[in-house]
Amino acid sequence: MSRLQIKNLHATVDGKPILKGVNLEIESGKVHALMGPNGSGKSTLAYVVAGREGYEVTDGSVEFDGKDLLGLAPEERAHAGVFMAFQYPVEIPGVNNTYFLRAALNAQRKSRGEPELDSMQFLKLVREKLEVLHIEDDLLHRAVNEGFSGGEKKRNEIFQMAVLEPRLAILDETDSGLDIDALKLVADGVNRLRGDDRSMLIITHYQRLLDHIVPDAVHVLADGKIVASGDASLARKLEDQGYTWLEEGGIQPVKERAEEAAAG
Amino acid sequence: MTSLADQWTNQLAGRREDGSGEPAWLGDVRRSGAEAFKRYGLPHRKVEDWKYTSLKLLEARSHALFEDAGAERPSSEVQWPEVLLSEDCAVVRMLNGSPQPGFDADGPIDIVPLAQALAGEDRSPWLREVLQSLAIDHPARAFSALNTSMLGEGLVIDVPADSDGGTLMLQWSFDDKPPAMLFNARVVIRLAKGASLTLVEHFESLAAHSHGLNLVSQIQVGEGARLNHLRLQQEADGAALILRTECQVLKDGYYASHAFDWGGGLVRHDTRPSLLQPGAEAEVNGAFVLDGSRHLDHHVFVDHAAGPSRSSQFFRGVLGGHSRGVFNGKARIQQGADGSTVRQSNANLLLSAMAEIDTKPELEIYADEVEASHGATVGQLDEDAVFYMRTRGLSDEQARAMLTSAFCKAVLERITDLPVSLGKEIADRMEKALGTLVEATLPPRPDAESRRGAAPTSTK
Repeated sequence: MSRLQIKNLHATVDGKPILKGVNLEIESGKVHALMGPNGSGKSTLAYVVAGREGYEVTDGSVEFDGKDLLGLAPEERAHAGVFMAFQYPVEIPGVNNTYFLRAALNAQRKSRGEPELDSMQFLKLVREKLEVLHIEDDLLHRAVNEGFSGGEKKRNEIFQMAVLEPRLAILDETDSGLDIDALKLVADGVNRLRGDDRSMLIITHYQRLLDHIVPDAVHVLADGKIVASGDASLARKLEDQGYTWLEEGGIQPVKERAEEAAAG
Repeated sequence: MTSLADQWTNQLAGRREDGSGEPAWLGDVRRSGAEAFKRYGLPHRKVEDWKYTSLKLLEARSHALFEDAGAERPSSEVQWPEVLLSEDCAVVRMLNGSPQPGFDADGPIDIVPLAQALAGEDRSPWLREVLQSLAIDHPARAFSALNTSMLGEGLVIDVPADSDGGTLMLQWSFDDKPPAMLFNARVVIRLAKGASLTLVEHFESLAAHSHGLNLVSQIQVGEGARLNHLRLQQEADGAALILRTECQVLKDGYYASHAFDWGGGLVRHDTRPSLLQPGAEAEVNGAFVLDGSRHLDHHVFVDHAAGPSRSSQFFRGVLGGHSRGVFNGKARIQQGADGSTVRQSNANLLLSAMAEIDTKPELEIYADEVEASHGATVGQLDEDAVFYMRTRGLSDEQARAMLTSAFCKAVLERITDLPVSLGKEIADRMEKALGTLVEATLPPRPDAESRRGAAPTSTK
C-alpha cells in the first residue's frame, strides 16, 4: 500500500526559508489538492519531492512507501514511482517524444528488473494510452514539447504519466494557462488515471480544476505551512471568499488542527 | 636549435630531383612551392588565419617530411578499420597519404593515383592547370606551399558528364612506426557537367601513432553537377591533420562539405568553396566532439563571385576536458553577385570549465542586394532539461548524452541524399564519442546527506 508521508518539512531556496514545517499524508489511491496564494511554497514542495537541485531541506522528512525519498537522486525517485507534471514543461529540441519516453520507461523498467520494451511493444502500449486519453498521435512524432501550445504541453505531461504509470503523481499547476476545453481534456485524462494504487497531489491556484477532478481532501498552504485541511467543500469556500478569508483569521480548520495537535 | 621550418626547408633543398618520366613543368611547380615555404616558414600566431591555432604539437614531435612514397613503410602489416558503408561502394585505401594498389577502378568514375596521372601525357594539360592554380604565396598558405613542393602522392578522381558516380570511400590511415612523419598528399576531383558523386573520406587508424597529414584537395564542380563531400575524422590522439579544400562551383552546381570530427590531436580544416557562376550553391557543415586536449580549427571561406548564388554554414561543437575549438566562418559576396543568400550558424556547448571555443562568423558584402544572416552561441547544457528528463527516470548521464546528441545530430540531418546505413553509422559513432565525453564531464553527484541538506550546521 503506497503512501506519501511528509513530516515537518523545512526547505530553503538560496538560504531563504520557503517551507516552514509542512505535514502531509496521502493514502494510496487518494487524490489530494493543495491550494494556496502565490508564493506560499506550493511549487517548492513539488520540487523538493521530485528532487530538484538548489532546494535545501533543513529539517523534516519525505517518505514514500516507507522509503526515504530525500536521499535519492531524481531518477531514483522516478524509479520508486514518483512522477511530477511540470507547470512549465521543458522544451527539448531535437529529442523525439516517442524516443524519449521509451528511453525513460525502459530506464524505469530496468531499475525494477523488468525486461525493456522494444519499439514495437512500446508503440503498442503508446497506442493504447493515446486511445484512453483521447490524444492525437501527432504528439509522438515531434521533439519533446518543442513548439507545443500550452495545452499540448500539459496533455503531453498527462500522456507521459499514463505511459510511466507512477504510484505517486504530483501535478504542479497543470491547469495554468489552459482554456476551458483544454482544462476538461486534461482533467479527463487525470480522472482516467485515478486508481487504487496511485496517489495524486494536485497543486492548483484555482477551484475550477477541482470541479472536474474531485479531490478526496483539500489542503491550504500559506507561508510555508499547511494552514487548513478539509474535504472538497474547502476549495469552494476558498473560491467564494478568497485567500484573504484565511488571513483575516476565520480559519476554523486551523484552530481545529491546533487543538488536535495540543490534544495529541 | 633548428626550428621545424628550417629543418623542412633544409630537407627540401637537399632533395634530388630525379625527374625522369615526369613533365618538366612539375619540377617548376615544386620549386615554386619550396621557395614560398622558405619565404614564409610555418604560420605563427601573428598570421591572422592562424591566430588561435598553435603548431606546438608538430614542433614537439619534430616531424620529418616523408619523401619516398611507399618505400620501406610496412604497408602489409597495417590493420585497416572497418569500411563505414556496408552497401556497395568503391573503396580506395590511402596509407600514409599514398593510394594502395588493388582498388576497384571500374564503373563510371575514373580513379587514378596522382603519380600515375602526372606521368600520363593525356591528362597533363588539365591537371597541370589545376596544380598550377593553387594559391600558395601567402604566410597563411605555408602548408599548401609545402604540399606543392612535395607534389607527387595522391589521387585524381574524374566523374564524366551526366554520370552518377555513386558513393566513393577514401580510407585514410597511418602506420604506427616511429619516427613521426609528415605525409603530403594532393587529391584532385573533377565533376563534369551534370555529374554527381558522394565522396566519403574516413580518417581512422587502429594503432596509436603521431604522424601528420598535410592534405590539399582541389575540386571542380561543373555545371549542374552535385558533390556531397563527407569527412569522418576519428584519428589517434597524437595525429596532426592539416586539410585544405578548394572547390570551384560552376553554374547551378552544388557542393556540400560535412565534417564530423572527434579525433586527432591537432586538426585544421580550411574549407573554401568559390561560387563562380549564377545558381551555384555551397553548404559547409560540421559537428565536432572534443575531449582531452584536442585542438580543432575550422576555417571556412565561401566566396560568392557571381549571383544569384547561395551558401550556408552550419556548425555544432561540444567540448570537454582541456580541448580547444576554433570556428572562423567567412563569406564574401563580391560586387555584382546580387541576389545571393548567405546563412551562418555556429553553436557550441562547453561541458567543462577548462574547454575553450573561439567563434567568429564574418561577412564581407560588396553587392547591393543580398540576404545574409549569421549567429554564434556558446553555452552549457540546459539544466532544466536535464532535471526534467531525470524526473522521467533517465540517469544524469543518459539525459546529458541525449541532449548533446540531439544538438549534434542537427548537422547530420542537413545532409541530403545520405545513404541510410551511413547516416546511422556516423550517428552511432558520434553518440559513442559523446557518451565518453559526457561520462568524463559529469558533475559530481551530491551524496544523500548533502542532498538532504543535513550537513552539520555547526562545527564549533
